[in-house]
Amino acid sequence: MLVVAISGCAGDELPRTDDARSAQRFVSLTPNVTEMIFAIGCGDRLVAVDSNSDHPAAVENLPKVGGMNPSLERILAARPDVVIGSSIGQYERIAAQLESRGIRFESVTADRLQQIPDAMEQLRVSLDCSGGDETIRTIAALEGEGIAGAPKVLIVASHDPLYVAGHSTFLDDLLIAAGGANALPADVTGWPAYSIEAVLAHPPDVVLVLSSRDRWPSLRAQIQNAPGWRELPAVREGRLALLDEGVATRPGPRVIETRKMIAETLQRTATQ
Amino acid sequence: MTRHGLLTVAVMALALIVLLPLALSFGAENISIVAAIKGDAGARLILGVRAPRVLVAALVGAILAMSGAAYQTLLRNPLADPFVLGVSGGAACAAALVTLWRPAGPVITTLAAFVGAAVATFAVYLLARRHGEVEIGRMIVAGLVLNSLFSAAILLALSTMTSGDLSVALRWMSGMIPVSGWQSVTVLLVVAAAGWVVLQRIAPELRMLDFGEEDAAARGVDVDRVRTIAFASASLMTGAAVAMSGVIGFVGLLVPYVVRSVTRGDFRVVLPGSLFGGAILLLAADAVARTAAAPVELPVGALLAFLGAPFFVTVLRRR
Repeated sequence: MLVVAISGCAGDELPRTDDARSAQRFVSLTPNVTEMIFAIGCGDRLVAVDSNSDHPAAVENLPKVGGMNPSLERILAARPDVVIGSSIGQYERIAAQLESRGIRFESVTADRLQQIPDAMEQLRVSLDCSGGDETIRTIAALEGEGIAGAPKVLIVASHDPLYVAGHSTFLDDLLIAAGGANALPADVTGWPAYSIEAVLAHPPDVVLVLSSRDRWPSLRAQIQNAPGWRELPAVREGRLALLDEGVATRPGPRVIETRKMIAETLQRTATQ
Repeated sequence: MTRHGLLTVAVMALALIVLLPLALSFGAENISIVAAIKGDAGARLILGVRAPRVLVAALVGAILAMSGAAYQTLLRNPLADPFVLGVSGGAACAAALVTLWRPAGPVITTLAAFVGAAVATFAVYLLARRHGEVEIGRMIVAGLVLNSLFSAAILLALSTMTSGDLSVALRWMSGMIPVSGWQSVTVLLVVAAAGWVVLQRIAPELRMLDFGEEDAAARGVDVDRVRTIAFASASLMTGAAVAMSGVIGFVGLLVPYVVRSVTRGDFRVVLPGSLFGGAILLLAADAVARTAAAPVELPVGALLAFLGAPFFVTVLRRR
């Protein structure tokens, strides 16, 4: 495994020597961090990324170090001087291993929308990057306030068993920023298993389903025919829409795109 | 069948009939059944979702408890049940792998779950049997080994999957009564009824196995035939239940044990007693899962483990 990993990195560029003090070789452990590093203009200094990182296209050719449980060997084989994780994963043990070998470990917190610009700013300082001013400003300005009469939206992570996006999640923040309101009661937070009865009793105006574009046509048909769901006015009247999970599950620079997707869907369903 | 046994079964059947409308009136939303009958559209809508789910819970409970009763008699062991034996794990593993490989309909997943259950049943029987007897220690270890093997297989498959498939696999592992349509109720009703009829028909012969296989053979019982029919029925029933609701443990352990203790009867009484007892237990547990933290739902399998694990330990210590 180690041999493969090392030979896989053989073609990488050597550390730059123009500024020996600043970090030159980064490994990102989560997709949103990878996207943030590209957005602040330091994508060319990434020498390896986690296996779930798939954006932007340039990551395709980078060595992969594994998913939620990354391989220490592969990280070391990339000879990084900074490894960056996020609050999504549990990296205490990897961090200790890296630091005992003199490799800096850094973590960013991006569980809510307003934390994303802060996280990007933190990376700009610590990684000595200078790009992304406009993106950071745009995201910082995204935060919305609840509008009276906003359409009530249910964000579905899985319809059977039913898991939903509650309040105080970054998707809830984006929903508000896009001019919608979470259809769930205010005390439902996080990503809980939820009762379809409660959905039927307090029907949402719009249902957004996290799915890939490939799976969506068959998933939509499934939901339209599922017991309970088929009785829901939003489903019956065509206000059931895809929320592309490849974009919308990433609390990083593409929240701008996610907010736009949600806003467009809300506009389309409002005029129906 | 003794009068005492018959009476107990009749009381349990009556209790189920009383509990069904009660379970129907409790849920995440407060609705009135009377209003629904009078034509209140909102109440009807909720009831239309709740009614099949309540029936699915009762049927899954009945099926698991009857399978447990069959396994306990076959293996002559009060700690045998589809969950402990790894049979539920085998069914869930096969169903999950088929679904992850390619999204399949309920018929395919049920068939896969049945095959998984049958393979696990056969494996645990081979591993636990020694000198014509199924030893309790070997049986528990065999079940343990199979359960960890099956969950390892699911985890291994999951680690190569994308996030979209995770919720599908979660369904088999977490043990939740799904939101179901009347089609699911019909399928389970057919499986439960067929399983009950088949097992009740071979009950007199199955009971003879209690005296030992040689004794039973001497009394004219075709041991191989009876055993094959019972194992196949129990596997098919477990497969159907797991395909519907994932792995729900301890129903098949607890219910037949309690029924046997109360009735002091043999398999002919324990089987119908388990049917009604299993239905009552899962009906009640699912009502708690639906309402305790409403509108958030709890996994009923996890709730039952809190009841089942101490029970398992108590029975194990008594022996």
